[in-house]
Amino acid sequence: MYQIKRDFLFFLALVSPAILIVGVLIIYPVINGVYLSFTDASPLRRGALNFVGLENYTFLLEDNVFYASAFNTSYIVFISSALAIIIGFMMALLLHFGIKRGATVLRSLVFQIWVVPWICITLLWGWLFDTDYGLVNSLFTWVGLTETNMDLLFDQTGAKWVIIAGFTWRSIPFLMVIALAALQSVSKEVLEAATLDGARFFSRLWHIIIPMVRNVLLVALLLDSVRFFQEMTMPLVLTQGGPSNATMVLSLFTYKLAFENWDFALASTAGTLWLVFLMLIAWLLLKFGMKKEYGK
Amino acid sequence: MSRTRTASQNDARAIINKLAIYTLTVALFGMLLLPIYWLVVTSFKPLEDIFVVPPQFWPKNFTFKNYLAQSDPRLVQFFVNSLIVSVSSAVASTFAGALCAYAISRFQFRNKNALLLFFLAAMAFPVPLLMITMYGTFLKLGLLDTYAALILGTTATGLPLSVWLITNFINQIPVDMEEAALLDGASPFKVLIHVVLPMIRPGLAASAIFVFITSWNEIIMGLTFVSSPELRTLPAGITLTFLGEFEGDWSEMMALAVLVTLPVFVLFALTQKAVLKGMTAGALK
Amino acid sequence: MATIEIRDLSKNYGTLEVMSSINLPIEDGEFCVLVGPSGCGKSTLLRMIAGLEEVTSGSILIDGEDVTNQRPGERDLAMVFQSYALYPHKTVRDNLGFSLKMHRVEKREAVTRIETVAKTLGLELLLDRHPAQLSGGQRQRVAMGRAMVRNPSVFLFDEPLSNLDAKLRVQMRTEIRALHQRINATTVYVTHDQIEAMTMADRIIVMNGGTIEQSGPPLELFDNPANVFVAGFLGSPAINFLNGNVERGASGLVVELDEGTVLPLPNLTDAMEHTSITLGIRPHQLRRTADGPIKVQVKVVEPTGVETLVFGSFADKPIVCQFAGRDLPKPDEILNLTPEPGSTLLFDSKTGERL
Repeated sequence: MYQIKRDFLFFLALVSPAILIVGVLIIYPVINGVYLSFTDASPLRRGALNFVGLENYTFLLEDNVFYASAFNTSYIVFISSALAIIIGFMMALLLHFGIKRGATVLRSLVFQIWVVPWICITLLWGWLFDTDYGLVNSLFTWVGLTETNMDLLFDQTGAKWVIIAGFTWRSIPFLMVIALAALQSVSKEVLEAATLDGARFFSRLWHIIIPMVRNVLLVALLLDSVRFFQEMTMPLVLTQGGPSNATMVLSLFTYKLAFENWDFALASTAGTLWLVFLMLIAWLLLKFGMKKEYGK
Repeated sequence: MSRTRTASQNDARAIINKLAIYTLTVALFGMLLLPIYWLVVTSFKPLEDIFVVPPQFWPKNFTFKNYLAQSDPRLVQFFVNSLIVSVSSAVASTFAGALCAYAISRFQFRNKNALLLFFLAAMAFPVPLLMITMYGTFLKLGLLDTYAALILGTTATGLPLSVWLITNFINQIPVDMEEAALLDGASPFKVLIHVVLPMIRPGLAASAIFVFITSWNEIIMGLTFVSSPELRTLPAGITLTFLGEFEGDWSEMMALAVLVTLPVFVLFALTQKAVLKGMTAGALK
Repeated sequence: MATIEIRDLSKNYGTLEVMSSINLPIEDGEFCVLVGPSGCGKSTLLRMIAGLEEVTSGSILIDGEDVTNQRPGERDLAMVFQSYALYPHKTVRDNLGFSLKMHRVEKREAVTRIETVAKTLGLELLLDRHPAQLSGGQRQRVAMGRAMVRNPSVFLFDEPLSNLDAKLRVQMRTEIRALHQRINATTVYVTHDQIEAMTMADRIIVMNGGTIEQSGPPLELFDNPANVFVAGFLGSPAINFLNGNVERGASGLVVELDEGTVLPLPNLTDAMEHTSITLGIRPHQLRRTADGPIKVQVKVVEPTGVETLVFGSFADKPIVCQFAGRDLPKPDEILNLTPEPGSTLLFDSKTGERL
């Protein structure tokens, strides 16, 4: 409709604000970040930058805390994503096929959870998982799952699971809503045809519904897990990365290196490795997870 | 097994199915909503009532005292700061994002998909990594310890999402109306204002809410880009100020959490429909 | 009023050439129909005239002025879209008035013009509705009204009737034609429907594969198609093609069809001897005669009331004939058919060109 040649000024006016912001505050920082990872940059030191080659990388790759962060991040993000998509999809199925009344209200109600600020989840989780009076411990003892109160926040595995619970809880609504929209876009006639072909609900689910919604869910899941990688309010405020680095995640690790130790070089290295790690996962997921789109 | 069933067997199956569905629904949705309930209920209990075993599922001694305890001027200041930063970045990011999205959607140029993929990838760029260079830039520009640093930082991290979301939204709108307007003699800017803008409102709403919520949640920029306590946003302020003074008064803490959640809750409740429309158009693409 | 001239117009998408060197003059007041199968470039050509599609090379002149690099809004033309392209958030009145607003037409003048157009199209009672509250036919009228209200020098139509049901389509066909007779503006109309083209056009331009196959008045094209493509595209039911060779028989030149039947035809010339040839015979030009050489086995018979269509096979290939009246043959009956003398079209089998 428009032609860059003919409507060049218009084009320029449209893209320049975004290019300016993205260029100065995203592209330049990423490139500069990668560059800094090969130097000894730190705001605490005066004088010129020194080029140190791969020193930062060899240092980090021998650092146990870095490995712990990478492991914890993968552990927390992977389990949270898996739980969130399974539960979210199940809830969407219940809303779409299961209950007759109140589906819209329930959806709206649950969707509200998606905007609860992380700092509030952190405060609430601190109270819910409180060792002596937390609701979780009360419920667990009441049901008979445990006999004594668990010190979840001070346990290596327990603390990770407290954070997993927070991540999962916060992202189920988003995935549920996306899954519900995807389910609503599956043609009723196709499902009716399958019913006439003799397919029971679970066969329809497996052979028709899931193949038709999987790409949408995968993209939503990818968007969500990427946010998990960034999210650090909970590990920062609730557990401070502890106990003994059990909840130290890449984002927190990088942040602390940069703005507590003021070691910009090492932080840039951690950030770069984190970026490479993420790109690798995204590439694998898109390459092997996505199925070809069929015409609608 | 015989494939025919009697009517009563069918009825029995239907009842069992229904029972299973409703039990599962109540269990899952109950589990999800329980924390919110507990948050609100705790905030209305006097402190001594929250430390009882078994816990009270309904406050025996209903009180507003925890909310009255929040009349701290510092909290009001944090609120105002968060509001200024979140609204500004939501508006800026949506504005720049919408313009850029329109260009991506309606101009023909090579590598368009690569560009969109870049914006998608940019959402994954480690924020602490970006912040290292942002910090230096803001330092040079004298923007550290001002609202501007926070607004620019959150706008930048929000922009890729705005562009991506709004581009997908515009792509779903047939181009015919805009072409008709061009033929009707409207200039490209007038087409944008009179024809495109009214049609992409849900996309803009979704983008603005997304960025607003992310900014409302933003904590590490709030901890590092500003040092004056009176410029802190809610997450940073709560962490540095209130948690430092915390002495186990969970009911007051829950009241604080309710107050911090309330604005986004109300905002989102009012705009959920539009956000949903804008988001699914983008996400279902 | 305006003339349009298209000179050496080409269009590439990347390295793919979709249109090459189109030359087309359109006269003032002419109702020109671009017709062809989907993907033939007719819509692209129309959109290039409108300025909505970039021109790779060549030029477009309106009234002698080169508009190739002008914006759509500067070209003084109006377009009716296939999807109608009504502004969903504006009322019918505001849809009609938008172009006047953009051209800063005085308010009172604008009101008068909107009302005149609304009256002409029977939209008076719908002026305050939104497009979503209108039926397909009503939307179509609003789209037409939006074009008319400006009194443009050129009207462009992009398959405007294809979203209407069959009955409404026929009705709108006549209305658009009547409208043109009244205001007499230069019109370029794109359609894939050859009946629309035949019934509406002053001149038909048949396009295929990004080039113009033939252009001329409808009946001229019907009777004298330049090649196999045009012959096959125009006419419903479609023309029958039979392949054969021109040979010299006992009584002069004859066509020997591939399966052996010999047809004496009056319009053969000596130069055609020993060439392979394609015969084009329109369904209504086949007659039943006692000694008809073309023996057709009847498959399906479709009476329409006025005439009868017979779908049969000849030498294992489908053939269609159209007879007046209601004399219905039975399936599997053999009909002896003769082409009407002098009506058979001859084409070169290799090039597809008319001989």
